[in-house]
Amino acid sequence: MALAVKIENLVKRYKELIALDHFSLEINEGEIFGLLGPNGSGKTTTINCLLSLLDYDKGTVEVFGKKMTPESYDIKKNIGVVMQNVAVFEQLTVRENIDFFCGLYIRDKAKRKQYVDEAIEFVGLGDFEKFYPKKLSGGLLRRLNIACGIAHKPKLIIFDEPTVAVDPQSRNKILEGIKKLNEDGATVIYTSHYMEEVEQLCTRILIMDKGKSLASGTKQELKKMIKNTETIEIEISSLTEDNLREIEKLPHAYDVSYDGSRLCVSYSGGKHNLTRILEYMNTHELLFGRVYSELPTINDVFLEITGKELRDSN
Amino acid sequence: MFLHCFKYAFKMLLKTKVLVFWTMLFPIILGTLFNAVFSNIYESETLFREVPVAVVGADDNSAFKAVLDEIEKDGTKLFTISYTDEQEALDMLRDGDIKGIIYSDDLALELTVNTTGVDVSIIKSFLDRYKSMAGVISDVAVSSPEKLGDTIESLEKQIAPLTAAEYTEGNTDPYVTYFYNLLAMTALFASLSGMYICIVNQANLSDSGARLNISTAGQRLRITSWLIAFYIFQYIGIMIASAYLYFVLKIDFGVSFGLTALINLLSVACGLSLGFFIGAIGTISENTKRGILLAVTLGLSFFSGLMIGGISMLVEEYCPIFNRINPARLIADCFYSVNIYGIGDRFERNMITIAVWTVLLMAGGLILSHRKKYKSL
Repeated sequence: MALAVKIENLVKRYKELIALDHFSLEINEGEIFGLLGPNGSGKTTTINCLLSLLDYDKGTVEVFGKKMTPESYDIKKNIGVVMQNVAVFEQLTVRENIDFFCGLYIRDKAKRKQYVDEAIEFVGLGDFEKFYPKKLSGGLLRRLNIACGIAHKPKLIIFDEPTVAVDPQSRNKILEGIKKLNEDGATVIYTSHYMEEVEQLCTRILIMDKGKSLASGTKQELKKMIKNTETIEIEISSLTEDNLREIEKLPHAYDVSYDGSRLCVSYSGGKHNLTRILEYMNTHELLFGRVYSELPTINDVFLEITGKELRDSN
Repeated sequence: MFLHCFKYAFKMLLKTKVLVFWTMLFPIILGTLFNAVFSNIYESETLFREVPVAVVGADDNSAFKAVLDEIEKDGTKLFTISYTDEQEALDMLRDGDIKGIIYSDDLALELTVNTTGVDVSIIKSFLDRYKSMAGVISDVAVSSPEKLGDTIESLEKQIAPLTAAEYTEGNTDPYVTYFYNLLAMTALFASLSGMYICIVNQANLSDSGARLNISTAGQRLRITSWLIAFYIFQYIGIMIASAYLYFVLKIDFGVSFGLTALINLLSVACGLSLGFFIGAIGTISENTKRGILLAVTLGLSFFSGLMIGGISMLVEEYCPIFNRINPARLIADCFYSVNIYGIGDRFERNMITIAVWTVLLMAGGLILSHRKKYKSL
């Protein structure tokens, strides 16, 4: 499969701070690639170096097999970016903004008009064409931001935290839209610190922190990297130390915790863990309430690798 | 793509209220205020007017009456004379209708006034000179009557070390300089546009700059198209303000409207380049830069004499070099020099200096802003 993006050994320093520390990644064409990490991990710095906006100290960046430079207009015409901050002009209407930015890529007027119409329909801003940005809600503004970035139908689209401070309805629309863009042939790079979005959307994920790549792969591959394969939580009000010691000895259980009302057991491997623990409860005539069984999340992967939660790091 | 960027730059300009206000509305408002305050001050307080006097007993002194008739002729009129009797003259003096009463008989001239001032000094000076000349003529008539003709002829000659010469038919009203400074300040307000262009096109200064820099429209193309669009807009704005001053308020600039248009061409370019240069310096926020720019523009205008007319004279006395390089002063002086001296060395020097400033600031701005990559965003 052809590579859309190849970053090798990237180093970026801001005086004493190393923002990117020998960072590398490869993105195949047609993927939705997730770049996941807490705030300050280097996601946006990676994107800005990739786009040749930021100067970097070391390393190489290639897009569609060619070295990326500020004058690589043949590459830039195939790139669309949805910035983290809304980057539109207050003096132009919705349609005018999209037309302006599309016009920086598409010279043919008729073609541009068609693209702008499609972009407006795609993001669902048909009823707001003549509105000015200050009249739009946060969610609609984000949609406008997206339209400005994708109107020229680029082959590589970079979304840099596009759902920050967005209402749930707009958020879902954005995520659905990204899937549609990928289905239409675009390669997508999606950066976020919301692991639920990345899990839902991305075919491959790279987890980074402090400028370093910690782990990368599909969701399944990442989850296999960690010890935990299942976590069972049971609401129970009375458990003795003996109970806890016995539960800890159940097959595949490696970690048990109890706070007086909730028992939490982590398992590594095994298929019938829930059955076994419920059998134990019944055998010992222990009364319990609700039971939850969860598979590991990307957050668990991050937690195990770094020792901290994704959200805690924010 | 150039036209595309140009078109949208112009569209944005028309909807940027701040720029429309400072470029068009503010000079019109301020010009109207200036006109309301300064109109007629010159005519009422500065220009010479005939001094109203009353003469009592003029028929008793035919020589003095002949002199009074002479000075009442057009071009030499010093006084507005009322020939009347003493009681009426005293009434007029008390009512303020006249500045003094000249009592004339065949022996002496006496002046009665009830106040002091320039007008009274003029009357007194006139009477003293008459008495002096009359005394000389009387003495020569008695001692050397054959030289009387030559004596009268020499007294008629005006001997002065200086003669007045007019270069132009310009407007000598000193208050017109406020309008010169107003146009200078308006031109420098184009700096707001210049700064905006710089900030909007730089990735490390604005989000839109980042988006523009990753597009296929090169930085030079974008900045050039925006500069041209903004220059045209600013020029139209200052010409509207100028036309208002010329044709609605009917301010006599002493400079033709065509020449004003020429001066505006260069002054707007200077203002635009000033803002572009300041916009390109460093990575401080847009609001801070705008504050700096307004402070610089208003400061330059202040020292040019926009707020207090005599400031530029003070600067000329204590730091004349500043007047030679202050763009606001240079622009205002272009109008002033043409009004008083016509198109000459001084005007040419001012225009060349403004052009040099424009080139230096624009070049500096382009060099500072021509970054391909940034250290940080």
